[in-house]
Amino acid sequence: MATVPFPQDDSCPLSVKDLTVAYERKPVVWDVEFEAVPSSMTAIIGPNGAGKSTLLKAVLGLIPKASGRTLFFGKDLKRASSRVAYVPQRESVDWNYPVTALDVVTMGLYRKIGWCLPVLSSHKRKAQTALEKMEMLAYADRQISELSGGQQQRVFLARALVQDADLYILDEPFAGIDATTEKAIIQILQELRSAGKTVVCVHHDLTTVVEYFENVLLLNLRKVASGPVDEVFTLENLKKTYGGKLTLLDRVAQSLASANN
Amino acid sequence: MAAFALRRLPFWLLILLSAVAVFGVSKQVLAGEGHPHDSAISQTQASEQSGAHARKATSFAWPDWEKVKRVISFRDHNTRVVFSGLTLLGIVSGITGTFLLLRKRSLLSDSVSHATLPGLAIAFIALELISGKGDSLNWLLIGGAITGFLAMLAVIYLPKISGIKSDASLALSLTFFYGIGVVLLSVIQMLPTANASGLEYLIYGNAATLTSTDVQLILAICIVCLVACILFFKEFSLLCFDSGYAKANGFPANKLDIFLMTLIVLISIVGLQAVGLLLIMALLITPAVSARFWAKRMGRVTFIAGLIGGTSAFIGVLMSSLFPRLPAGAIVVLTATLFFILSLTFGSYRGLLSRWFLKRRAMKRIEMNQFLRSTFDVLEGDQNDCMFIENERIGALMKTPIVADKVWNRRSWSRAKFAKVLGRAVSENWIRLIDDGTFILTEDGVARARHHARQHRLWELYLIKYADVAPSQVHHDVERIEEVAAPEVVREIEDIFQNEIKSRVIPVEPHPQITQ
Repeated sequence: MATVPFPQDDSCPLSVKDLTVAYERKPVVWDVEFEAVPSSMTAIIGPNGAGKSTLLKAVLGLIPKASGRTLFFGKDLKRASSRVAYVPQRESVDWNYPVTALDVVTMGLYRKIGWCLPVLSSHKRKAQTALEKMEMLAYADRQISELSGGQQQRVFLARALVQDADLYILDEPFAGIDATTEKAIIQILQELRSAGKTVVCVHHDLTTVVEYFENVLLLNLRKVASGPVDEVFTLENLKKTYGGKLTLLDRVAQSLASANN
Repeated sequence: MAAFALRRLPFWLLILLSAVAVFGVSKQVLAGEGHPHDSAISQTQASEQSGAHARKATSFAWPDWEKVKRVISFRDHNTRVVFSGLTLLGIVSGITGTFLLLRKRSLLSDSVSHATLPGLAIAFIALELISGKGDSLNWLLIGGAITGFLAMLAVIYLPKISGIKSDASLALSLTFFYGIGVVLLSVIQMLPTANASGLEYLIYGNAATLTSTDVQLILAICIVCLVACILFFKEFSLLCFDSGYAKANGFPANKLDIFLMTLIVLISIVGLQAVGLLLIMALLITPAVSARFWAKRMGRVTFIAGLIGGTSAFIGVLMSSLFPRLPAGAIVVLTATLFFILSLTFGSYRGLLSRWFLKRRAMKRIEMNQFLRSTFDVLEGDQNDCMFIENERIGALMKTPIVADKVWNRRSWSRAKFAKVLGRAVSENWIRLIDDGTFILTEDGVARARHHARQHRLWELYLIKYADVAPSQVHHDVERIEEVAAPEVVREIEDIFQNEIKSRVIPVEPHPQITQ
């Protein structure tokens, strides 16, 4: 196997090399090698249990890696954390927690505010601006359990926006939300890309990959393929990724065909 | 830069003040070590009960007025010390307990407090062997703190390294450490010289035997924990809400977690003397749980939890100094539980009563919507027409009498309930009765009925067309469709109905008719 030189320069927002994650003895993610293209949108897709979220969590150091290395802008996450914004899965937190939507968004600024220092009104204004961008300003004072799933996702995205990062890592942002929110989110992500930011996003809806993303990483425990959508997102690769789930593939074939026309 | 520092002046002042307070109190603790046995409240009791120890008093007696006056006026220095110490303990355990509760580690405090027992016992035995005097409280507490800390680490890291569930790790570490403690206690019983009564107080708690040295220790630890909670308030909140995000964001989440749990261990240790190791968990958790019924923001919840904790502790000490036979710790816990019951019932945010009122109001609104929608259906049936989109016939609708029985037939309500809703519709001015069995819609009534008929049908069609829902599952009251579906989707569905109007087809309800 030819060795790929590992980039040390800070232009690559995210490079993953030889990443293996194992729960107990069984590897869940195996030897993944991947580089995010600057100012682009990349989808990580694969069947349920393919290790998509696990990959993201390992990349961000939330779960231990068995082996491998990840660099953000040529540095460790610790030294580059201000340039990275993470949007976890919506189910990962307790939505009964006693905070308002505005409080959650303000959390995105805590790192910038600094240890032990209080939240000032200028920070609140920043958070309000982010909420406004997600059309959620009217809900700023709502306790977060009083929000719908789509609104909760918008709050999470606003919290990432307020960080003003260069790399946005999202875990299933479109799961269980309404069509309007999905459009709003994708619009914001596309705006980020136009502003030179990089977006990496675990995605589960194969029919929208071509429409939303220009790069794709196909994952099923191992990396099946990665690269530009029009080269990599082929039926052959999808079959390798998803195995025999043909009904799913038929629908993708249709969407591919309609995209080509 | 100067302006930046100036804006945060109150904040720096707070840090400075708390540093001074910690320094002052800890100095006092050191100075106070000379006279450790000036037991605070028992002094008052001793004078009243002619030397008999509080716990050994044989008869229950109402306190006379002299005593009440004496306790309430805080005339004795030591009474003041005990009251302030325990009230501060209540406040601070309420505040730190809020973080513990929200970190979903409520039971951790129980494991920690039980795990102090072997540490206490080991320290006791060691002191007996070295100096022959085993009841030096500070050393006992240090021993307890060490094993409590170990139990805390076990609870947190056992699930991480072994894959067992966290409730199992709680049970394991609690019973393991407590088991060691029980064995060691029986060893202590066998020591010839030992007087283990000091240990007993730590297990069951006895605020009345607190000395001012003990209280100074409580004050010092409480101030440290309070200052830590204020300083790290936003970091702790973030950790409890979303630790993964905190970590990805560059916060040392694991260290922060251990730090927070260390505060819990410290509070549990100083709480030992006051309420005993069996009841500390209540001191930490009950105020926090109660506070959640009053507020929806972190700051408020912590504040109210501190308030409830402090008040409970105050009342508990008051009761036990008026009635020397009542154990202060248990009274504190019972008072806190009383606050919990009050909060659960009357809490303004999620209390049972407020939830019941909200639910009742929502039910009434839904019933009225259903009533008006059914009225609209009847009107359409009578007119043999679809008219919920057109506007020109609204005036005519207001003049059409409606037979109440026809509306009732469309709902699965009892006669009595229907009569109630009908009465409310009249009093809220949605309809006007013509005679006993018929009514007409008012202008507002027409508007509302039309709005809900429209919303309802758009929703049903939307769900059937777009969400792959079986038509029979669609019939429930729904909120505005515009909140969920994109405007173009709403327009598309409206078009479907428009076409139906054009072809003069009466729109059939898209689900099978519900039979009564």
